Amino acid sequence: MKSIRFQLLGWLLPGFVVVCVVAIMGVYFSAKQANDADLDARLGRFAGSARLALRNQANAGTGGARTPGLRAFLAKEDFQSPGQYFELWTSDGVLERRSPNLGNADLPRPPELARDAIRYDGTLENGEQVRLSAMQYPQGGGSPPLAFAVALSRSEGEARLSRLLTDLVIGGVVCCAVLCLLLVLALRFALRPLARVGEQAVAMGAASLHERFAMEAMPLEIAPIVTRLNDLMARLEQGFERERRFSGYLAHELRTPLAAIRATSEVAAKWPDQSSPEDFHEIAQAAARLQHTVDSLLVLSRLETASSDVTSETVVLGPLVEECVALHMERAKQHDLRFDLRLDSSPTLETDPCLLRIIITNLIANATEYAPPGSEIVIAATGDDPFLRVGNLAPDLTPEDIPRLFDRLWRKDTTRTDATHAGLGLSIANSCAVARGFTLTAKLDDGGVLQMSLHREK
Amino acid sequence: MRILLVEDSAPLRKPVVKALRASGYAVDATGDGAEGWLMAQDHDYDVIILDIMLPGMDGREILRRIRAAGNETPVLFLTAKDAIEDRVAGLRLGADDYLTKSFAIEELLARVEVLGRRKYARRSPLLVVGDLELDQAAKSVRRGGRDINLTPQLFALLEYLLLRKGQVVSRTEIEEHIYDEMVSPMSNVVDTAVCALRRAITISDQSTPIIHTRRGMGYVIPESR
Repeated sequence: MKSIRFQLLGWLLPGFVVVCVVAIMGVYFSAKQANDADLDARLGRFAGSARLALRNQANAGTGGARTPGLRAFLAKEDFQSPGQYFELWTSDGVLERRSPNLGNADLPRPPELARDAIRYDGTLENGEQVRLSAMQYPQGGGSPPLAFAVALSRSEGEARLSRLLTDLVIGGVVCCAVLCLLLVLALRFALRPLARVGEQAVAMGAASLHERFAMEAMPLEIAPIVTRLNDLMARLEQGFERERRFSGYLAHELRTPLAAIRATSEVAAKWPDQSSPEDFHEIAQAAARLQHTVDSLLVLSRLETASSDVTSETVVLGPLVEECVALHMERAKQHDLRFDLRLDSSPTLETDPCLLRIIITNLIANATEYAPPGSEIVIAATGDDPFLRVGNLAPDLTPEDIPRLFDRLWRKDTTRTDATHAGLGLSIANSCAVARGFTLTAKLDDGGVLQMSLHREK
Repeated sequence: MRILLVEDSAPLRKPVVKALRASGYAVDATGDGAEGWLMAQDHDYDVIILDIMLPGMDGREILRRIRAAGNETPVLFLTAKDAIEDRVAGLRLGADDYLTKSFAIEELLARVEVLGRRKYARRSPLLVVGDLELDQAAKSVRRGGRDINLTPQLFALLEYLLLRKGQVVSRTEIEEHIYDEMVSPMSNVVDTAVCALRRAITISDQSTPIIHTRRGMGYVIPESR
């Protein structure tokens, strides 16, 4: 598995080393160039001194008074010890004079000479590296020109460069080590929020879905991810909560009639003299209620898993609504409810008539069940969107209940005492709507009217 | 013993009441939580059976109020909620037992019996005085080695007097624990029942009287027996 930290370290550490090596080399070669330039400058001055000494010597030779010329030049203390060297020879290559510190050794001579100085590197017989400057020195009076060379030892400069190189290498290694340490610490610090998110995510389970990732001190780069994670957690928690509620409702809806059946039959078996036909009637009623709940759940399950099986044909909305209303007319009369049908002239739509009938039936059943006695149920079918609206007073509902209306087995009565409903009607209507691509929405207005609207597929 | 059952499902409440009465308990039953709380305040029940999801008042709230009022009557939760957290929450609130629907009626009766014994700080189901033995679990009575058949109500009366052995039990207390709300407070049903019980447990002329009358106070089964 890839690690961001190791990937960054893998790239940055060699990068630091390369940068340090390049920097060291840059500094070293720059210092070397400066050293060579300094050596050449000194060599130029040295050659100038030698030329002056030769000129003085020539003047002395022609009767001038300016001596000591070469003797004085070569008597300098600089020529007593290694470091500076001088040699003079004729155009035939015959040695004329040389500095005493050369002993019997010659300075390396260039293959050709000119009046302008030629600079080159050479090695003395004792192995000493030197920088040389050689030139011709013209003599007056038709005499052939002389040639001379001056040399400066490189050893002092080389030693300085060597020390510099050692210092640079040590400095570079220390710099690399410090940079690496800083890099490791910086990565650890910078990636700490990510590590915390990872640890928290690993520790999360079904029991800790209420927890959220802390957004404080979260880096900008991770904040959108963490925000999305928190949104997902919230949705997951709501989903778990919905499933938990559903499990609780289901347990009640299935276990209570089961318990009644079991208790009634066991009591009838144990105390047969106390049993009556009414007991068996109650067993049958509880079993019927159980079957209704199980059948409804199966319908829901089939709707949710086989939504592609729907058929499509042209359905005239008005007659279908009237047919569904007729099914609930008796119950409406029992509850003293009135229907206000607002059906446009024959709006039609392409849909599955069976699914649409289930939706309309469940919406009307819900309205007749929960509308207060004496109130009115308004049903409107139009060619617009929404194409179907069912409105009724719902004094017991609060706006907080609306998002739960379509939850399976949800009932406003949390005690679920009324055994005639399981709380699946609106869930089935919603699943039918989804299966056909419709959208079923619920809205509670300020007047306490619950408006269920069925929208066309988009 | 007198039991209070608060269960909102009528199809379940009815057979449970029938089973409890058939087992010799006096049973008051209601399907409303608020009414159940009022009944728990008004009577000294031996065991209270509570559903959790109740109209009027939640079963947990009834239990909380019962315990807050200092009432230590054993409470059995009878509910469809079977999650561990529901059980733990119920027991932590002060419930003594928890039974999940659906259940075997025998199990419910056994648990009620255990809770009834707990109220009187007893572990053994056997109540003995002299040569008379009452087995709460087997619902049987023997005297001098002979089985005695008692009606559920007489059995409950003898059981209650034995549980209160050594104490004078007033007629009102007997009414409270043996008879449910259907009995008129003005009736002499207690005296009649005690008389019938005395006859039933007298197996010969030599049988020692077990139940003694304290005039103006009530009845007692002396500890020495």
